[in-house]
Amino acid sequence: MLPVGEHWDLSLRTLGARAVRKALADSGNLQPDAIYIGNGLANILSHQANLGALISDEAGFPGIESCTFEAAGASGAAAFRAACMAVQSGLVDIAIALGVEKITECDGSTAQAAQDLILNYEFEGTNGLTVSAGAAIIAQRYLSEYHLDRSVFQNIALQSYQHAQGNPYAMYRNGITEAIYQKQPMKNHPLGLFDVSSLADGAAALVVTREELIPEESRDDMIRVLGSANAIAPLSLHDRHQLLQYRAASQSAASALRKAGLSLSNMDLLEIWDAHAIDVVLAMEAIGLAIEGEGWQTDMTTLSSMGGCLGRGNPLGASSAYQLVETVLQMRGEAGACQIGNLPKTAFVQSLGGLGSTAITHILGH
Amino acid sequence: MEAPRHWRLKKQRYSLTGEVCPHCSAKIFPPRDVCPECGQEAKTAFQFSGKGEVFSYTAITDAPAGYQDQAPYAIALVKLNEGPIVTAQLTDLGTEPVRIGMPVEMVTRRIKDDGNERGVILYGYKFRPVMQG
Amino acid sequence: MKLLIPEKPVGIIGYGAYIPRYRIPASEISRIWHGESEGTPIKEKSVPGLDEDTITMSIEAARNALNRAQIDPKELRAVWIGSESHPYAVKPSGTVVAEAIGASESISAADFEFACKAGTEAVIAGMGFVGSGMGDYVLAVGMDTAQGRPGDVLEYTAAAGGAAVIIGPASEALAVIDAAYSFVTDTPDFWRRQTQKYPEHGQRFTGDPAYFHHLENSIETFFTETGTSAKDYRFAVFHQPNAKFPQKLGKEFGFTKEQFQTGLLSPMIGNTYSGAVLLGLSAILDIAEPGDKIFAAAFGSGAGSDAFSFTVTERIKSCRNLAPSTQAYIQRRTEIDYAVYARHRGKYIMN
Repeated sequence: MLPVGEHWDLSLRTLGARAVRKALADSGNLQPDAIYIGNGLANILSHQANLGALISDEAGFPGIESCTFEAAGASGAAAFRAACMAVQSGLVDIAIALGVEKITECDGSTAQAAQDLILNYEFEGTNGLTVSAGAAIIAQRYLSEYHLDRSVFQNIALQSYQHAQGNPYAMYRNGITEAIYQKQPMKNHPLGLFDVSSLADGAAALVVTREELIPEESRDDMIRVLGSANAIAPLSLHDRHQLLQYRAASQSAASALRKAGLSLSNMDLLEIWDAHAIDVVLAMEAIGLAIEGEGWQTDMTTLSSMGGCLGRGNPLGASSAYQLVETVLQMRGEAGACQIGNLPKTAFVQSLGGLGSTAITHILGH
Repeated sequence: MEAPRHWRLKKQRYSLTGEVCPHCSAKIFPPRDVCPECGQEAKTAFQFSGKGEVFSYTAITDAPAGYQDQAPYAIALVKLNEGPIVTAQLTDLGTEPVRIGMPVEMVTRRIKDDGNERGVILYGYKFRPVMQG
Repeated sequence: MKLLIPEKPVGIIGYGAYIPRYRIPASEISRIWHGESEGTPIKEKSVPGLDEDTITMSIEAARNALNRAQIDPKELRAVWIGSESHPYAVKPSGTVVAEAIGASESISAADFEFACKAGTEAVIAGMGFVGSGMGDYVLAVGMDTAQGRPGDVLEYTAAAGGAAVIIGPASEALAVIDAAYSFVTDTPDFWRRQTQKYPEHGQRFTGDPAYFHHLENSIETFFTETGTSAKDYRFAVFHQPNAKFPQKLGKEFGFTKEQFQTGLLSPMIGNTYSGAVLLGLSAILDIAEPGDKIFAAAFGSGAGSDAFSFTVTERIKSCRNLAPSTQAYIQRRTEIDYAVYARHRGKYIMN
C-alpha cells in the first residue's frame, strides 16, 4: 500500500510495481504466478492499456500471468476476487491482486471527464451528468422521501475525516470540525464538498494463496477469505426501479455472507463504500444494517476505520484494494492509531463501482 | 467527432422516441432489445408525449468538459407520464425554483458542440417547466 | 398577371410561434454604448437561451404548427426553413427539424435565405408545391437568432424568434391564402459575407431605396392587381425592423393603428428578421375571427418584398388553442443585463 495523494514524481507503472513489491515483502517474499490488476482510468488518463504487461514487468516478473479488471471503483475488489478464484480453482498457486490508479497525470477536468465515464455515456454523460451530480440526485430524492435535510450526511463525513487522522496513508489527515463542515461550499446540492470524495493517486496490493503454501512462520499473519461475491444493478439511475435501493449492494452482501456461512451480526468490522456520503446511507440500508430511511443514523465507529474514500482519498480503481488492505491491517492489529478496540475476527468489506451499479463484497476472517 | 454515435441515436435524442413492449405493453426509454419489465424482445417504436415531472434533481456548477458554456445548469431525473424515467437537463427555468414533482415538458435544444464551433452540433431533449397558454 | 395564385387553392392549416424567454431592454444596450440618455428604437428585444438556435426554435414552432394542423407529421411533403442564422453554413437546418418533428424521409427539405424574407419565400414556394398537387402539406418556417454588431444601431433590435406555418389545401385551411405577390431588385442595403459574424448595412440607404421602395411597390401592385385597399382588411402586418418603419408604411397606405397593432411585435421583442412577418401573422391568427381578411407584407434586404392576403375560416376557432399563443411567448420573460446577453450571444472571446 502506498500513501494516497498526488504522486507527481511517480508514474502509473511505478505506483503499481511498488505496491506489488511491498505486498510480496509482507508475504515473506512469495513468488507470484499471476498479478491481477484493478484499474479504472489508465486508458484515458495515462493513455495506457495492457497494464498487465506494463506493471508486472516493471515489478520484476516478466513471464507470469497478468491482466486488468475494470469495475469502476470496485476494480481492485474485482482483481482480488479474480485472484481468489484463480487460487481456489488450483489453476494458480500464488496470485497478487493490485489496485492502482494514476489520477494526476492530466488536468482536473480531464480526470473528471474520465471518471464520468463510469456513468452511462450515451444517456447520462451526454446529457451533462457527472458522477457527483448523480450521487446528489439520489441524495436529493432520499432527503425528500424521508423528509430529512442535508445535515444527515454530517456524521458520516466527520467520522471518515476523523478516522483518517490516524492513517499515515490517508490524504486528509487534519480532520474537520462541525463548524467547518457546516460552512462547506456545495459540490452538487445537497452534497457539499466534504460529502464527495476526492480522486487521487494510489496503489495497494494483496497476496492470495492457499494455506499450505504459506511458510510456517508467516501463517499467523494470514487472513482467510471466507466469502466473495459480485453483483450488478442497472448502470443508469433512470433504469432503476427503486432509485433509493442499492440492489447490487444487497445482493452481493447476501451472497458473500451465505458463502461464508455467517451473518451480519458476526461481523466485527465493516468497510462500506463511501465515495459519496449518500453511498454509505444506501449501502447500510441495502446490506441490512439499517432499515430504509435510517441508514444515516447508524453508529459509525467500526465503519471505514481508516478514513474511507472521503478521508483517505479516492484512487478510484485502487480504493477497493485499499479497503481490503486496511481491513487486513485491522485484523492483524497493525492499524496503528486507527486500530479499533477489540481485534476483529471477522470483517465485511464491500466496494461499489459506479453509483451502486456494481457491488463486490468480501468476508474476511482469521 | 462522434457523429456516427449521435446519428444512430437521433430519434431518441431529438424527440424521445422509445419503445413499447409488444408482450407486456411496458413503455421503454431509451430503446433496448430486451424489455426490462418482462425480459422478452422489444422493438416496437413508441413516441413519448414529452410530459412528465421532476423525480429528483441537482445543480451542476462545475460542468464537465464540453458543457461549460451552458453551466451552471440543473440536471434531473424526469419521470415521464408514460412511466419511464430519463436523465436530462432542465432549461428555461426563469425564477421558478426546481422542486420534486414540478411538471415539465420536453424541448429539443443544443446539448453541446462537438468540437470548438467546427464539429457537429448535438441536439437533444431537455425539459422545461410546462408552458401555460 | 403578376399575382402568384396556384391552380389549386391553398391555405394555412396550422401555425406556431416561438420566442425565447430572455429579454434585454434597449436602455441596457444604450447604457453600454451611448450613456443613459440615448433614445431607443424599441423597448426591449428577445435573446435566445444558451442552448437555442434557429434549429431548436424552428422545432418548437413546427411542433406548435403541427398541433394546430392536427395532421400526422408523416403527411408533410416538404420542410423548408427560412433564416439568415442557420447554425451551419453547409448542412441543412431542415433535415434536423424534419427528423425532430417526426416527418417522413420522403420529403423535400431545404434552407431558404433571403435576409428578412426567407420565411415568406418558403411560404410562396409551399403555395406552389401544394397548389400544383405535388404534395398535400408543406412546413414553412421563418426563424432567426439575428446578429447585431456590438455598438451598432442594429444591436438594439436584432432579436430571436419566428413562426412556422403549414400550407395545405384551402378546404382544410384555418386561413385561405387568397393571393401573393413578390417584388425583387438588386439593392445592396444590408448583407453579410460568408464567414463574417455580423452583417453590414447601408445605414440611411436601408430606408427609402430599400425598405420603403420594395414594400411600396409590392403593396401597390398587390392592391392594384387584387382590386383591394387597406379598408378591405381587418388586420395588417408588415416587416418590422423597428417600431417606426412599419407604422409609417401602414399609414401611407391608409392602414390604421387598429389594423396593424396586433401584428406589430417589434416594440416588445425586437426584429426577428425572417421570423418577423410570420410571427406577427401568428399573433393576428390568435385573435382573428372567421371571415376576417389579413394583409401581410414582408421585406428582405438585398432586396425584395412579398405581399399576401389571407381569409380566415371557421376552422380557426377549433385549432387556435391547441398550442401556446404568441402573446404567451411574449409574456414569458426573463430580463437579462448586457453581461449575460454578451454570454448568450457568444460575444466573449474564450481563447
